[in-house]
Amino acid sequence: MSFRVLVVDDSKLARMAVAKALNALRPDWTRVEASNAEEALGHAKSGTFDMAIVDYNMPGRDGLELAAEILALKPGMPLAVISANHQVEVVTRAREVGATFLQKPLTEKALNEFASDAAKRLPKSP
Amino acid sequence: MNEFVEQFVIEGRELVAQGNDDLLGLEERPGDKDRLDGAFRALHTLKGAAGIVDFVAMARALHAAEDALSAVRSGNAPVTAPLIGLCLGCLDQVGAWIDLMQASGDIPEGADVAADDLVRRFTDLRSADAKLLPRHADPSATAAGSSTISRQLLEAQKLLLAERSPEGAAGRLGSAGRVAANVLRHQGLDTTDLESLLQTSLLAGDAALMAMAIDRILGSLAEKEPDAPGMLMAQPPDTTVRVDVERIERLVRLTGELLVAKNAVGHTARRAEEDVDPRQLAVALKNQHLLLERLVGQLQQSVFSLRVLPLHRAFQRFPRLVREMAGSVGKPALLVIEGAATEADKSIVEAIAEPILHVLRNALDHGIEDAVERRAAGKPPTATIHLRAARQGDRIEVAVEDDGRGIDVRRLRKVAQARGVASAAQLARMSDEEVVELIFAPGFSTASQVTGLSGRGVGMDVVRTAVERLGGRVSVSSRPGVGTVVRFSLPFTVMMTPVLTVEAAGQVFGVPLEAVVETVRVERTAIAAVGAAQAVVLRNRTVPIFDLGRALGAASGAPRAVANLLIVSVGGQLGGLEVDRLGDRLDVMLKAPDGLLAGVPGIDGTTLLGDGRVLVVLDLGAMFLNVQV
Repeated sequence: MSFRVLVVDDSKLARMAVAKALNALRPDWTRVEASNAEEALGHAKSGTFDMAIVDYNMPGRDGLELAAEILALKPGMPLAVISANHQVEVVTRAREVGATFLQKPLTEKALNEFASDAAKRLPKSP
Repeated sequence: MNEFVEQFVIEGRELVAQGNDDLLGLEERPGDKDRLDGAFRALHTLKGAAGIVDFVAMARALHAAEDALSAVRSGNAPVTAPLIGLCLGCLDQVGAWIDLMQASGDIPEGADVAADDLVRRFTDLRSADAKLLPRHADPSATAAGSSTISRQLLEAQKLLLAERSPEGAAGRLGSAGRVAANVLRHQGLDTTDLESLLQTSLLAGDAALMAMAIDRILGSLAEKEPDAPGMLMAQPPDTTVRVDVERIERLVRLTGELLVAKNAVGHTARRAEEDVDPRQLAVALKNQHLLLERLVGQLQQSVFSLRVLPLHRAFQRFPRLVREMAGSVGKPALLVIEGAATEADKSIVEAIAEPILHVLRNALDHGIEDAVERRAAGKPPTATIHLRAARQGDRIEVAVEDDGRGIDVRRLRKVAQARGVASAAQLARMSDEEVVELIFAPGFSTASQVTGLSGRGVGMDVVRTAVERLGGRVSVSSRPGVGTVVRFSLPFTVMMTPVLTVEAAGQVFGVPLEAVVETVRVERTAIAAVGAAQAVVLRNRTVPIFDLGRALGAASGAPRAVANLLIVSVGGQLGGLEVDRLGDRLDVMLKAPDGLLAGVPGIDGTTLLGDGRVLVVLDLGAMFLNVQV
């Protein structure tokens, strides 16, 4: 089953890193990239992805605010918030909005777990 | 270099610049939350980037800096000059690492030592009760100045050791050993050797061993001496340009339209094979030509616009450098930048930083008074320098305005006369405005004392030369007690002509490189006289040659046994130019010949060389024509 993943990070390098890991784990999945919250919401409104990986630390709206907005548009969609700082506050808030927290730098193991879990939750036919 | 490192270098540089900018803004307004968040985010994203390329040492150093700012964010620590200084120092180190990575494509070796040092300094900063630190302590005491302090401490220990009296010798030796070990620890170095040496010296009662060890440490400190303030670090020229997506899309659209136009021409060509009225064809071709002309023009414009950069690229380092320079001359000053978004050709943006920096340095050194003098004059103790940029038609206007004491014209007149820049009679005829312009005269410098900033043996004449090389102008105006304004007027774009320099009759000339086919060395005997002229046979072609020195009317000495020939192509004809020596390849901006040179045949234009000499670029077409007639 092939899914589309939205990757939101203001750093292109960080998006490249996520892309590399995703390509290795799920070569048949496709990616949509956004460098800020506005672009991400644009994609969310046109409904071009099945799950999202969002960086916490971004200028303007932070990743948690964006996660909450995306999930308001697409309730129940698998969404991971990633951050280099494992702050209790960020982890708790992520859980509150219904997102998974992943630690940066993203390991293939953590990404794999998120991807498998997401694939299980999504309906079988897109 | 792999694509990750490549992206790391690009993003890293931007983040360092952004971090610098926000840190300086934060120092100015310690309560500015946006600046604080911006600086934090820059450090954090840099740390993330370091993690992605597995640069552990860099991530560690940035983590320490991030922690320090985190404490500020949560209200547990104040914004202090040492904190900002240390964060800036950390970004300097990161910038240096990025340069190394760009050069080698790999994580630099030995980064751990520098990272450890930064981490320790952040720890020291926090353990010293931050609240007891004076708000505006000397920032250099934390970063750049630490080796100076170390040196002073060590010198004091050497004096102590030089004391010959046997009384208290062991105590002096012990003290020197402790201080030396502390300095080593501060530098992040191992102290085991020094400690065993201390034991040996104590046992032998010999201070000489310890004195030698201290000398060695002093030597290693000297190597680590930080750069003088206000120096632009040599940056490798940017080989990449970041381009707006919009500009790329315009190119894509144009390409589409060009394809359609190309197909239309193909269609017309097929029709021409058939029996069609030539006049009809002519109309179609003319229309297609018009369309292509418009599209190619747009394409040209779009491609040029890719080379356009905001002046911000040149300006971004200035606030930081002004802060350092102001600190080193002890004159508080603030740089206010306006119009940094003004765009200009990449070559202008890259070349203008150095001249503007020179003017800023001069303003701090000579124009701005110290705080005491300013207060006495009823001015705010902190001086303000405005750096303004704006586009005016096809030119970029940049002004550097300080609120210092202005230029002392009476003193300038005296100095100009004393230095022989102008005679008393000339000076008497000159207006004050004209006299002020004399600061651009070669070798003119009014600095009464040589300081660390100026006194590098260069004056404003260097600024003028650099600006004129770009096809720009620079002028100065000043009002006593109010301040000085230096204005730059620069072209929006420069067309560079590649030239080859050659030497003939003791002079250097330029030859347009596009005309040069090859350079050859031939034996004098291979050159044959053909009537009154000379020629050489090259690959079965007879090529007329002439001696550049002689053509210019210089009496040439004995002909060389081997002739240096420049084979040039002029109007489809090959010709040889004999020169004494071949020089370098240069990219220059050609200026139409004016003044004495106006109307002299054989001259294409002139340009200024880096050392201020005028390079005359030859018009080969006219020269060959003259010779052949």
